[in-house]
Amino acid sequence: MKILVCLKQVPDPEANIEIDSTRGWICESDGIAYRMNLYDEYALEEAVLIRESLGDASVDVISVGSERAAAVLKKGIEKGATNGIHIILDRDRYRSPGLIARLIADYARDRGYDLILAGVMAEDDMQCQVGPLIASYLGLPCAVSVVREKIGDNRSEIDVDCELEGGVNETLILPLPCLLTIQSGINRPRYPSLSNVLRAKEQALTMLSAGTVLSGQVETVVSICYPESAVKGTIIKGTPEQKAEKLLDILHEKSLL
Amino acid sequence: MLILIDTINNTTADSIFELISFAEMLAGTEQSRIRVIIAGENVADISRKAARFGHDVIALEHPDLRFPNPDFFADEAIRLVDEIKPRYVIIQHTMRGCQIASRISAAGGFPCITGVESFIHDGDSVVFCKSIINGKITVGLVPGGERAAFTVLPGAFRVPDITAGHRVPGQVLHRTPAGGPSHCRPLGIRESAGGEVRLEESDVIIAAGRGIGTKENLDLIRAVARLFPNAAVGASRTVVDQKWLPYAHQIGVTGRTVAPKLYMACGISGAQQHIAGMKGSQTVVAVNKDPHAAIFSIADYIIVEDLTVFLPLLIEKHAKKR
Ligand SMILES: Cc1cc2nc3c(=O)[nH]c(=O)nc-3n(C[C@H](O)[C@H](O)[C@H](O)COP(=O)(O)OP(=O)(O)OC[C@H]3O[C@@H](n4cnc5c(N)ncnc54)[C@H](O)[C@@H]3O)c2cc1C
Repeated sequence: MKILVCLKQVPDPEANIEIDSTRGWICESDGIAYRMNLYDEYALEEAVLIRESLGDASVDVISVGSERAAAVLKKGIEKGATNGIHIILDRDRYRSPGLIARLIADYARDRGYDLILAGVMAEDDMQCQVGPLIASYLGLPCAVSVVREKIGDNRSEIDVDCELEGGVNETLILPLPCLLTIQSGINRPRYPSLSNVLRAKEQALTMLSAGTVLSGQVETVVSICYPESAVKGTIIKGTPEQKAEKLLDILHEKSLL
Repeated sequence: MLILIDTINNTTADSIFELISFAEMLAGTEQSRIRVIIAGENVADISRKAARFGHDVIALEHPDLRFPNPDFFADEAIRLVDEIKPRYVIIQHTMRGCQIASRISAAGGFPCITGVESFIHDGDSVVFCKSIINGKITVGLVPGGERAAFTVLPGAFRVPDITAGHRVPGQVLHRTPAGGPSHCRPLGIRESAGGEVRLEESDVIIAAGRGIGTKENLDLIRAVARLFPNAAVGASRTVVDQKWLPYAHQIGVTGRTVAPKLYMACGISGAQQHIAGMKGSQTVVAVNKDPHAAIFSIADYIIVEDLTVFLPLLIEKHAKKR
């Protein structure tokens, strides 16, 4: 069984993120920490769990991104992936999910993957498209927001629970090969093992240049800003002690306390 | 324009008709025909309801559409796009909505923008705005070309008021998908266990986010909750994913929807999926150490502070006051 997992490097939302209006994206500064997209961590863990239960599976991880993105592939190997494939792009900026998905689909085509996993959403652009787009380009069936999966005994189909809204799950059966996007909470991503950390150090990544991709019509960023609705409420100022007292007064006034 | 709606057991919440407002506002003064496609096994009732808004409805019916079957629905929608050649295809923003929108846009080679919250006309083009980076930043995107697909954030637009103004009901046409059998087999739906937590009945909800840092700090959240006569502990998805609290505490699109008198968000960033479940709260207090946290945009009272410092002080000062 061959599994491919898509990994994206994203800026840590908690980092001090600043806007670069001329480039229509966020500034690349030393102040920003980059890490693996949270949902991709769950996708990777699920792939590693499948390999552990089947015994004879390989887990490749692929990332499309700038040179810096190699770090998430290394992290992927540390967490148990077999191989890392890096499709290199120049500096970060807004990239249409269509472009990313094309590059991954072109790589995956004819390589015989039985299962492709991606995170349900990228935390930076929040487009939720790359997974289903890859499936479309490859003509694979797709299920999104998967919170449970089980590969059938004959390995020709997979039984999944997809999360809908408000606590409702749907059970679906898909033929293999197929693509799933994985939702957080499906498992508990592991920490790297020492042996895999050492292996990641030694092991080279497969590096490919993105080349030119025909991606048809795309969307372009024309504006970027902090939400203008921000802060309609009252900012409670002062020392921590004063803030606590002020809040208690407000809660009393409103008869909440 | 085409509006695509899927159903579960042939029904859907009325809030889905927000999409009609979005389409009508997008059309503006331009003459643009809006058609609503509703997929299900037998969707005559909901289709009639939709037609009251004054637009024609196509009821797309097949046993494999009784439960959400995004690929199957999208494949028929691709045929409809070929026939009708709409300027825009509009879908509600859910994960399967994004799947449908992506699949249609891939087939037609046109752009797709998900999670649209608003739009502005800018000369000849329309700029569609959406959140990125957990709602910290908003971007405006212009789709290139003749056609585009969108998913629209629930709650961003209002269901049109049909009592105001005169709307002649549209026609309902029934259609069966032309494609072969569905690849995916939807077997059915199931509710996740609710549990005994009475979030909906509480006057006050003290909600914990990943910012609490450790499971042990839930004790702080619980201690704050005990200051109030009828308070419960809520949580963001991240807290539930870490198994710090059971699922029954989760608030948001994939958890509970609550509207207490007081909602106090502690260490919650304010992602739109969380806000969807608590924006009806009467008073929102947010405690977060990041002054740019998105939760502050919907908070009535903003406290930029480390919660491990602030909450113990709150408890202490309250004890002294009594
Ligand atoms: C399909 C889908 C459905 C989803 N459904 C839901 C849902 O139903 N409910 C939900 O909540 N989420 C949901 N999510 C996840 C959502 O997108 C966010 O990832 C999640 O809400 C973030 O949780 P958080 O705010 O606790 O964590 P984070 O986003 O990591 O935020 C932690 C916050 O804590 C602050 N902080 C850190 N340390 C401290 C400190 N010491 N003191 C004060 N503040 C501190 C940080 O500044 C930060 O703002 C869903 C996502 C998807 C893709």
